Amino acid sequence: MDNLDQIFLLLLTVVPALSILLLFVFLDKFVEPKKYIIATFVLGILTIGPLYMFDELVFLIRGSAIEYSPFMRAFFSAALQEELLKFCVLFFFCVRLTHFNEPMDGIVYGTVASLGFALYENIFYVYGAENFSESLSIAYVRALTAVPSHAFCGIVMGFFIGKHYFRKHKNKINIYLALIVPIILHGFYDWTLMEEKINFNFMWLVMAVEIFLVIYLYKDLKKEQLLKKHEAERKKI
Amino acid sequence: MKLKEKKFNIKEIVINLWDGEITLWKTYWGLVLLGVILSLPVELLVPEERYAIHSFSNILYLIFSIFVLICVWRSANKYQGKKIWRLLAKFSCTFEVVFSFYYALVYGNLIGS
Repeated sequence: MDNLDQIFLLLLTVVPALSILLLFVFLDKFVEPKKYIIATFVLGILTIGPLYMFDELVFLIRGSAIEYSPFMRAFFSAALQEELLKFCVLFFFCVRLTHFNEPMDGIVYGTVASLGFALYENIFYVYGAENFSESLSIAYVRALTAVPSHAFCGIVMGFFIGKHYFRKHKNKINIYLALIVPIILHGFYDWTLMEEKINFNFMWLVMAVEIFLVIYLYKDLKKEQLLKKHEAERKKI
Repeated sequence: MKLKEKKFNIKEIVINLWDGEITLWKTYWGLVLLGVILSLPVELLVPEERYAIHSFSNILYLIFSIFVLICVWRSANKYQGKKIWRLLAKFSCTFEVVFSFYYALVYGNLIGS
């Protein structure tokens, strides 16, 4: 292992999250301002703070960490806490921005917040490994699985938040769905990895569901965005 | 008489590619060629034991093939010629994304383990 290997390990850790981020930022017809994208990304990274604080608090009160079953660890310790914090970034920061002005923005900011968190988590796992080959293996596997999966959950969350804020008849169901659907997806993804009785390959099934769902939701919003564009052009004429 | 200077502006080319503004054949063959230029040196010159470089190269190629798919897809949607070329371009780029993902999984022993 030399410096070159270290550089490529760092690239393998950072580049996947950043490229998915750029992909979704530039897929948007009306690209969001850089400063808000960066701010959302940083807030996504900072969500790790409350997660640690919660764990520390539990440790202080109990004197030991809670031992969850794989199911509870996947759905409560990981999915619920992480998705709830990402939701807070969207709900308390992004939707209040003046540039948050169409449903597609929900997807963009949702992805960015999720990938901020995913990047920190990636660095944490990769550089927390015992040796270089383990780090490399973790970085490679996460680039193909965990990082895209985080992005997919962010997209789904952002889609429902966008739907809630830009529907004429506001319905709280979309806000609930913005939390519940990503928690279920994230929870199932983690559960397939944590539960020994479940075959590892079920994770691909969860990812396939996420991919199809994301394509469907994205196309739905894209259609809406095009209709809006045509309407605006017609009004100009 | 002054000749117009044509500047080679990479940023502009990338934006036009991304928006599908460049003709289908130029987009398709240009990006295929670029893919070969980018990936071949790593495959040929870097020893197999340099796992970090090969791993990153696989991921980068996958990301690049997604970029190609989007550019070609958008350009194909604007293509006015025979429908078969549009379909073939879209199909081959989709196949490339699926194949490079599959290749990356096999390389990382992520299938069937």
